[in-house]
Amino acid sequence: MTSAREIEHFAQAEYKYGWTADLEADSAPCGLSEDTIRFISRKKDEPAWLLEWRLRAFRHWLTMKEPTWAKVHYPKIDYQAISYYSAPRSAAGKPKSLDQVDPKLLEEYAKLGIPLREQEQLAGVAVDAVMDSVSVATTFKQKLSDLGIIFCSFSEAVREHPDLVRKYLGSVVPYTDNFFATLNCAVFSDGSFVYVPKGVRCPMELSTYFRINASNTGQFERTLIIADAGAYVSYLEGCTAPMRDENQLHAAVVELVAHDDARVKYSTVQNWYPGDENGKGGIYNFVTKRGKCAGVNSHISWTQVETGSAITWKYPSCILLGDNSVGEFYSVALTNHRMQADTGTKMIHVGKNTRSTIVSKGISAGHGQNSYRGLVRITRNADGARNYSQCDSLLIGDQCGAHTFPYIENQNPTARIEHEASTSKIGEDQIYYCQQRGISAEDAVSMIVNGFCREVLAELPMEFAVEAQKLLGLKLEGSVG
Amino acid sequence: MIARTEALAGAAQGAEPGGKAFSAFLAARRGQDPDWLAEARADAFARFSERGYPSRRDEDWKYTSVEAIAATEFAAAPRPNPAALSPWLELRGAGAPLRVVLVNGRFERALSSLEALPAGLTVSSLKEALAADAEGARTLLLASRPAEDAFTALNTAFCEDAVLIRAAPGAAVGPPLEVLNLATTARAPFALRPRVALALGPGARLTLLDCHAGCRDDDVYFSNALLDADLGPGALLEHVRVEEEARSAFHVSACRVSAAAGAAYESTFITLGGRLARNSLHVVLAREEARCDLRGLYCVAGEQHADHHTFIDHAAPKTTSRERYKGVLDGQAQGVFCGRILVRPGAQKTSAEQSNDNLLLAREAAAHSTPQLEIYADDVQCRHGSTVGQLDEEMLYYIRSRGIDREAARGLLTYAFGNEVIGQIGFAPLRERLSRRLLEATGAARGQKE
Repeated sequence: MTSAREIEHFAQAEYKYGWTADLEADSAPCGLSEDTIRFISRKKDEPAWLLEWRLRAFRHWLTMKEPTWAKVHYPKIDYQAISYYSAPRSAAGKPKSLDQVDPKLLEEYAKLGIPLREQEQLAGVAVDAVMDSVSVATTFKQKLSDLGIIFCSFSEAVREHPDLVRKYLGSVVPYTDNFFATLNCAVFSDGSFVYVPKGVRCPMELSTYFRINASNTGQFERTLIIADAGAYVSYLEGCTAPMRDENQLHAAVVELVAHDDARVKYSTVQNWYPGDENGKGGIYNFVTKRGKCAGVNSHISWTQVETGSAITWKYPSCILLGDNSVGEFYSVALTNHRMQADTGTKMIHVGKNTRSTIVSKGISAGHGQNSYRGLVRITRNADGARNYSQCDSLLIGDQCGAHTFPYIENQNPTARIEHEASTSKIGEDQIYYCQQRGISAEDAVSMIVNGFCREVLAELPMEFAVEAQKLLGLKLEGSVG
Repeated sequence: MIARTEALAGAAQGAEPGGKAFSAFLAARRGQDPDWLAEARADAFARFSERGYPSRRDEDWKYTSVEAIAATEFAAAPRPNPAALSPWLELRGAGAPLRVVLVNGRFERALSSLEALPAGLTVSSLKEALAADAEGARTLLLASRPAEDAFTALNTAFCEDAVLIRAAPGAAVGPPLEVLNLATTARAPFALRPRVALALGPGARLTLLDCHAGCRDDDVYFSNALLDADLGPGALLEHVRVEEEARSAFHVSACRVSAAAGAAYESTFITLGGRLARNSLHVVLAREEARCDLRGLYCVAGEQHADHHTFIDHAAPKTTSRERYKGVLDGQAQGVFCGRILVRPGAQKTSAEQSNDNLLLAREAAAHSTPQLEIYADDVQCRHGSTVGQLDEEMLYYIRSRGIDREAARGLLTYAFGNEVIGQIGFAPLRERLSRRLLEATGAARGQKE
C-alpha cells in the first residue's frame, strides 16, 4: 500500500460513521519528532525528568526496526501520519445521541444487555448530565484513599506522586524494550496508576470504568500497578462491550510490580472494533504487558479474553525473581472474519521454587489466524522451578488457521517443564447430539466453545465471566451452518 | 561460468570457502562433471556466497552457533589408504551384509560389499551413475527441493561424490543396506560432504542404515552431509541414522524426504557424537495417505551440542505423522529440538502427534525445545507435547530400596529412558551395539561426576 493510500486509510478510519474528528487547537500536528514529544510533555505539564525519559526513548526508537516475526500481516504503518496528541474532545464533535451511532453497534449492545446510559458512554455520545457512575466513583475513591490506596490517572500520579512514578516507571518494561513499547514510552498519552501500600488488601476490583476521565486515555495507554509487601489488588481492564475508537494503532504498556507476599491479578476483556467481514478497518493492538514478581512468595496472574481488534500482538509476561513466586497466564483468544491474533506469554524463572502455569485457548473461525507464542525460560539458578503449559486450539471452518509456537529453554536440571498442545475442530457428532435435544446449531457451538474456555473464564471475576461467556457466543454468530 | 565464479571471489570472507577455492575445485572437477552439474555447483555456490553461514539472529539457528565452523579453515578431505581402514569399519559400522563405504565423502568400492545386491536394487557412485545414465542421475540429484540453506548449498557446490540408490517398483529389499560414512584422521581440519540420493519406485521397500562416524575423538573435521529421498506411491523407507562422529568434529546434516500417495517414511535418528551436531529433517507428505514416523534420541555430554530440526509438511489430505524425540543431556551439553508441523490449507483429516522429552542430568546442561504447530485446515487432529525434567526421585528411591546404589540407579533409569528409542531399530546387530554404547555412556556419565 502506498503511503498516500495509507493516510487515506487512517483518515477513513477516523471519519467513519460521520464522526467528525474536528480537533481543537489543542492537538499536535501529524508526525513524530522531538518537538511533538516536547509538545505532549508541555501540554501535560510534566516534570523535566519525564520529558528527558520520553526523549531518550524516542532517540532509541529511531534506531529500532518494526518487528516482523509475529504471524500477522498488515499494511505498513506510517508513523508520521499519526497525530500523537489530542486533547479530550469537546461535546460538539461527538454524536449527539444514539441515533447517530452505527446501528450495528447498537444491535450488539442490545444483545449484550448493556444499559442505555452505558451505551451512550461507550459509543462516545456526549453526555451533559453528570453520570451516575461519577458519583459512584467518588464514593469508591474515598474508600480507597482511606486505606492508603492510590488509584488515579497516570498524569495525576506524575503530579501527585512523582517519587513513586519515578521509582517504578520503566522498571519492568524499560524504554529500550521493544519497538512498540519504546514508541509508547516516547508518546504515551495517559493511563492508570495504582499503588497498594504494605499489607493492604484492596477491597474491590479496580476498573478503569470507575475512574473519572478514563474514557479518553488515548491510543498510547500506560498502566503501572504496584503492590507493596503483603498487598493484594485485582484490576480489570476493558469491558465486554464493543469499543469504537478513532485511532487505528494502539500501543499500550502495562507494568506490574509485586513485592514480598503481594498478589496482583490483572484481567482483561478486549473487544475493540475488529474491522468488517472483509477485514476493512479495525484496530491494531500492539501491547506490551509484563509483571515483575520482585519479592518472595509474590504472585502475578494474567487473565485475558481477547475477542476484538483486527490485529492482536500481545504477550503478558511474568519475571519470577523472588523465591517461591508464582506466575499465571490464562487466555482465550478468538479470531473471526479476517482477524489475526499472535498472543501468548513469557515466564522467566529466576528465583528458586518459582512456579508458572499457562493455559491458552485459541478459537479460530472464518478467515481468522490465531497463534499462541510463548516462552518458558528457566535460568541457571532457578532450582526447583516448575512450569505447566497447555495450549488448545479450536478450529471452526476450513479457511482459518491455528498455530502454536512454544519456546522452552531450560538451564536447570532440577526444573520440571511440561507443555501440551492440541488442535481440533468441533465434532459434527457433538453438534448433532445437541441438535437432537432441541438446541440450535448456533447455541450448540456457543455452548461447546464456552466449555472449551471454562478453565480460563473461571479465573475472571464473576460478573465479568458471565459477560465474557455471552460475548464469545455472540462473536461466533454466523460462523456455523 | 568460470568468470562468474571469479567475480564472486571477493564476496566470501573469513574462513568461509571463498571464490578462489571454488574455482580451483571446479577446475579439478573438469572432465568429471557434466555441464549441468558444474552449473548447479556454481548456482549453489552463488547462493551460499550471498548469504554466508547463518547467524544466531536467524530464527532457525537461534540456539546453535556455527561460528566455530565459520572460523575454521577446512582443507580438502585427505585420501587415506583404504586397506588401513578395515578395523575402523568393523568398529563403527552397523554390521550389515550389504554395505556401501564412503571414506571422507568418497565412495570406496573396494571397502564396500555390494556383490550380492538383491534384484531391483541398484547402488552406484556419482562417477558410475554419470557413465551409466547421466540424465537419470541428474533427475535424482537435482530434483527441486524445499529447504535449501547455506549448508545444502555448500554440499552441492563442493561434494566430490555421491551414492545413488534406486529400488525398482515393487522391489522389497529384505536385508538392510548400510551406508557407512567414515571420516579419517588428518593433520589439519578438513571438510567432507557425503551425499546420498535415493529413489524408491512404487511399492518398493528398503531399510537404510545410515551411519556417520569418525575414528579418533580428537579428530577435527566438518561433515556436511545431505540425503535426499523420493518415495514413490506405496513405498516404504525405514531410515536408521546413527551419528557417532569424533567428539571434536562438526556435523551439519540435512535429510529431505518426499512421500507420494500411501508412501511411508520411518526414521530413527541416534545422535551420540560430535562437538556440534545439527540434523535437519524435512519431510513432505505430498499426497493422500502418506505417513511418517520419526523417532530420535540425542545423548550428549561434556561440551557437546546436539540440535535437531524437523519439519513435517502435511501437503495433502489424510496424511499422518508421528514424532517422538528424546534427549539425555549431561555435563555442559546443550540439546536443541525444534519440531515444526505444517498442515496446509485443504489437508483435511490430517493426524499429527509430536513429543519431545528431555532429561537433564547435570547442573550445567541445558535443553531448548520448540515444538510448533501451524495449521490451516479444520478437520484435523494435532497435538504436541514437550517436557524437560530430571529423573523421578520416587523411581530412584524404589530402585535403591532394592539395594542398588544411587549412581547405578540413575544409570539404569537413564538407560531405560534412552533405550526406548534404540529398541525401535529392527536390525539386531546395530540395535545391540547401540544399546551397549548407551549403557556405557550412562555409566561413563556417572564416572565424570564423581
